Amino acid sequence: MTHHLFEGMPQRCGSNAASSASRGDPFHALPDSVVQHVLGFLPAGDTVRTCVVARRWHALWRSVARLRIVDVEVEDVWSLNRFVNRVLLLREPGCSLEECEFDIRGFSDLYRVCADQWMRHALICNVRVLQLRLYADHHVHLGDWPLLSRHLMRLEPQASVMLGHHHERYCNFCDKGEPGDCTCDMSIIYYASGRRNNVTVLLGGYIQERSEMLSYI
Amino acid sequence: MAAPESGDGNNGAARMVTLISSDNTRFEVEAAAASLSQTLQLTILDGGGGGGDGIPLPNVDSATLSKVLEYCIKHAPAAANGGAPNATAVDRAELERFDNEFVNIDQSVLYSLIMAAHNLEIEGLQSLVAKKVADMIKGKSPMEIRRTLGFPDPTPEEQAEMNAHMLEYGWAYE
Repeated sequence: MTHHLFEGMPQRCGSNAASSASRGDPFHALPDSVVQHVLGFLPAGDTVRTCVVARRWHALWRSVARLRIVDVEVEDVWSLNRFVNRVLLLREPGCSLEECEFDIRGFSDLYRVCADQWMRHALICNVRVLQLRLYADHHVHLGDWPLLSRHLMRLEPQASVMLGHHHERYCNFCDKGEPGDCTCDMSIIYYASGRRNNVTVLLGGYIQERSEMLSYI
Repeated sequence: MAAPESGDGNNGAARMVTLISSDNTRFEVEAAAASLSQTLQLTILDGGGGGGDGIPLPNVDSATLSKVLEYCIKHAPAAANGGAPNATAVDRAELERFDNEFVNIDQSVLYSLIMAAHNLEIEGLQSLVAKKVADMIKGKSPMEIRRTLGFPDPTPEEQAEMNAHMLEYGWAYE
């Protein structure tokens, strides 16, 4: 049965594909783009660790289009920063990100977390969907300098930031519907999140001392 | 022999197209369902696949194609509504139940589906099967992943290379 199914499929892996097929399990022959699609659904730690699964997989994680920085198993913010910075900076240069999710709700003490830099880095990678979820006991430093994105599309109700260029170009916050017109900066978005939801919700997270945060604007 | 001269007619019976698997089995499905495939969409828009013609799919066997079409038929109505904004929670829950059930399959079937979804560019199905494989390998060590996916045992040379990479990426294993 397996042999029969496999025979109809293109072989992309030369002798490896043939030998694994004869063993009755053809996953070894999956095209790189398919493997990368799979890796995009894993938490980033798992994604990086797949670099040693097979020779052909070694560099695949570096150009996945989807990064999920979730369930990071480190003890403190210093280690968290180190891990995320490496994941982001070791990516293949110039390789676009479609989606990037930062969920660091497992960390209560986020003093000196580099979340702002991560988001800006993701934006440099032309990310279209960007999510940051966090809970913080302390003030979390977010940049007080504007961030302009031609790709900025809309703000989600849960205060995740959606960026896009393939779908409608419309920014809920500044209400500009014209393509490419939106120049919302991050400071304004931060403010908008707090104001719109009438709670201290910020980009999907909970941050105390909102007034202090807003003093950045 | 419904000639598509007036484009996609909205009234009357839905337009049907015929797909032919690698083992020459013919499948007649609604054009809307087959159009979930980006690969087929243009051909179908151009009026292909109708009447006695049929679109040959030399990379997809009948068992796999039948499974793929099961997915397309189930998802076509939601896709026609532009994703799911109009769908009720019940509809969405039903699709989710269907999806979960759909990928509860043997690995060789899963592999055939992955390749078919890839070749036919059916976005939803591509994500569904990719997620399934991700769930299979999530949280596992590299060797466990190899075993799960049925990779052959590494050669000594490959093993040495893996060990070197393991050192290089020690920070990801802490």
